Order: sequence, then structure tokens, then C-alpha cells
Amino acid sequence: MKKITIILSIILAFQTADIKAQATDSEVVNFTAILASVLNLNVTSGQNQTATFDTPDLYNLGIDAVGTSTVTMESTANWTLEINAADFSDGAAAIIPIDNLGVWCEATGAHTIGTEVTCAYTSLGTAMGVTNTDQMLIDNGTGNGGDASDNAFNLNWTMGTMNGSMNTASMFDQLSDGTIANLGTFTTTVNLTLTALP
Amino acid sequence: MIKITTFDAMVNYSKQLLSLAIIFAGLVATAQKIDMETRVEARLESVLILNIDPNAKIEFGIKEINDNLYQITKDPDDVNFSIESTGSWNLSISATKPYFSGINDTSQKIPIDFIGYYIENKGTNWDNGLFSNIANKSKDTLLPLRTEETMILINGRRNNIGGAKNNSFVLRWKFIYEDELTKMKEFSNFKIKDDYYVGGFYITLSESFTPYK
Repeated sequence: MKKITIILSIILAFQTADIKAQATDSEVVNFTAILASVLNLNVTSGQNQTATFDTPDLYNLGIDAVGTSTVTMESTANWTLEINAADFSDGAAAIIPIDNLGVWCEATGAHTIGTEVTCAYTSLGTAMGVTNTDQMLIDNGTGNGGDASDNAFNLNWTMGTMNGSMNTASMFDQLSDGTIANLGTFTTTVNLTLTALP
Repeated sequence: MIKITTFDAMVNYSKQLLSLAIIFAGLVATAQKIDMETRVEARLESVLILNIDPNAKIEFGIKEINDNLYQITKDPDDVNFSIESTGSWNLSISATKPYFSGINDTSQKIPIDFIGYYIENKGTNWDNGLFSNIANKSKDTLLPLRTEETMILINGRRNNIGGAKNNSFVLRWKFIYEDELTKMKEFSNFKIKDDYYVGGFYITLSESFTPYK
């Protein structure tokens, strides 16, 4: 009986040892963090602007403040913002040269003009006359990648004011010399192009 | 003990290749552009404005020094005016009444054509006739004031659209008798009493419908 007891104890001990050996195992979980590029341009307000000329002063001196478009950029890379537009059209043959439309920038986010970004048009007096081909409006400075709180700007529109690189003739003069053939409602679409720098 | 078979190694290698491909695709995608549009509308509305002192009038003073010898004690004031217009225009002048009335003695009257006028151009729009910006009928000519509307400035072929710097004028009054001897004789027959005399005039600005512009 004693022998039987010893044998059973040995068998039981081996079984227990075997179970403990199988409890240690390991597996590997692989994580891959993908940092894909992000590039977003948002016009958060002022997507439609209207300039109404209805007094002699406006025809002579233009409209200083047509309105403001607010834009934000979200980018993992540095970026540039370019601008162009076709001439204003009345839907028929008459046009208003697009350089009668001017724009100038204000930074409202953490990135400021002169440091993270550059812009040569920062006041009404230095407004950029919009052209049919792309012009650099906001360029990279010391590094302008960031989110919307970093890259927030006001684009201030002006028309017929003859400032900066805008058309140097008044709206009156352009009506008189036939550049603008008639009165009426003219429209254009301004294109803003955000490009990520490599 | 874990054994890694050849098959497991190939699976792991494939997974790593896939990860690299995804990361590479992400890097390549950085050279991208985004366009946004803003619509701008310009409304050019019609403007036709005459800038003139609303109290402008013709006032002059006369004093008899001797028989048939009069002295002008006050000349009528010149009238500056300008026109601002997005379209071509015409301008006419007429007297409000057929006579000037004495200020102190309203029963005293002098016929309105006692005074003549001409318009001097001070703006950049030329007034050299119908082939220029404006045809000025009073250019080099003294026109008698009348109650009938007389068109003085007429839109020319080059059109007279513009603001005040383009369309700026001075209306100058002149006594007709100074130029016409017959009027001088007529003048002496009036037996004008010493007084200041006043008369009114209309300036009418209208849109031109000539085909020039």
C-alpha cells in the first residue's frame, strides 16, 4: 500500500509539473503608426463677396473694404497659397479687368506674417491686384506647417481703389475709355490654391 | 519553446513590406494641391449727378450816375458746377422768369436777355465739338439767357462719362450790352432805377441717348 501511495504521488507530481510548463507562452503584436500627410484649406466665412458701385465717390476712389474671407490651413508640411481669377464678366461681352480687384492679408492664428509665413500684401495701400495667372499670396517663412489654430488668415477684398499692384485707372475712367463697356452685374470666381511643399 | 517556421517568416516579411508600402504612399502623397473658390460680384449701378450750389442765382447791381450813364455796382457771381455720370449726358439752361426783378423795388423789371452767359470748361473731358467729349455751344460765344431750355453742353463722339475732375465747369454771366451795340441802345431806353436785380435759372442735366456711348 505504501508503495502504491508513493507511485501515485510521483505521477501526480509529474502531471502538475507538466501543466505549469505549458502556462508560459508569448506572442508578438505588431503596431504600425502611419503619419499620412494632411493638407486642408477651409474658407470659413466670406465665400461670397459683393461690391456695389452706386455713388460718384465709389466710381472715383473705389471701395476700400468690400468684405473679408477667413481661411484656415491644416497641413503636416509647409505650404504656399496662390491666387488667380478670370476677369469679371456680365455674362455677355462686357468685362471688368480682374486687377480692379485687390486683396491683402492679416494673420489671426499663431503663425504670424514675417516669421512662420510671409506675405507682401499686408495693408490696403499695398493690396495685390488679382490677375488671371497664379500669384503667390502667402508663402512659407520659417516653417508654416500646423493646424487651423496656427494658420488662420483674413483675406481682405478691395475693388477699384488703385492701390498696390491694382489697376491704376479709376472705374470712372475705365467706363469712359470703354474698357468697361457698360453697367450691370459682373461676376468672377477667385481661385485659392494651397500647395504642400515637398 | 516557440518555433518559427519558414512559412511564419514569409508572413512576417510580407506584413513588413505592406507597412513600408503604406508609409511610402503617405510620403508620396505630400506633393498635393487643394483649390477653394470665392465668388465675387461687382454691381455697377447708374449715377447721374449735378453738383451745384442750390442757392445759385443771378444777382447784379446798377446805379445811374448821369443821364444814360450807368455803373454796375455788383457783377453776377460765377457759378461753379460739376457733373458725375456713368453714362453720357447733355446739359441745358433756361431762365425761371422772363425778367429780372428789383430787390428793393420788385416792380422794377429788366428783360432776362439783358444777361448772357457762357460755360468755361475746367475738366479733363474736352469740349471741342461733337468729335471730342463735349460739344459746347457757348464756346467762344455769348448766349442770351432765355426762358426756353437751351441745350448748351452735348455729349460728343468720345463720350462725356466721368467724375467731377472730368466734368468741371464755370458758368459765367456777362451783360449782353457789352458786346452788342443794339442792346446798349435798348438798355438806355429802359430807364433802369438804381437797385439790385435778381433772377433765377434752371440747369437741366439729362441722360444722352446718342448712339456714341
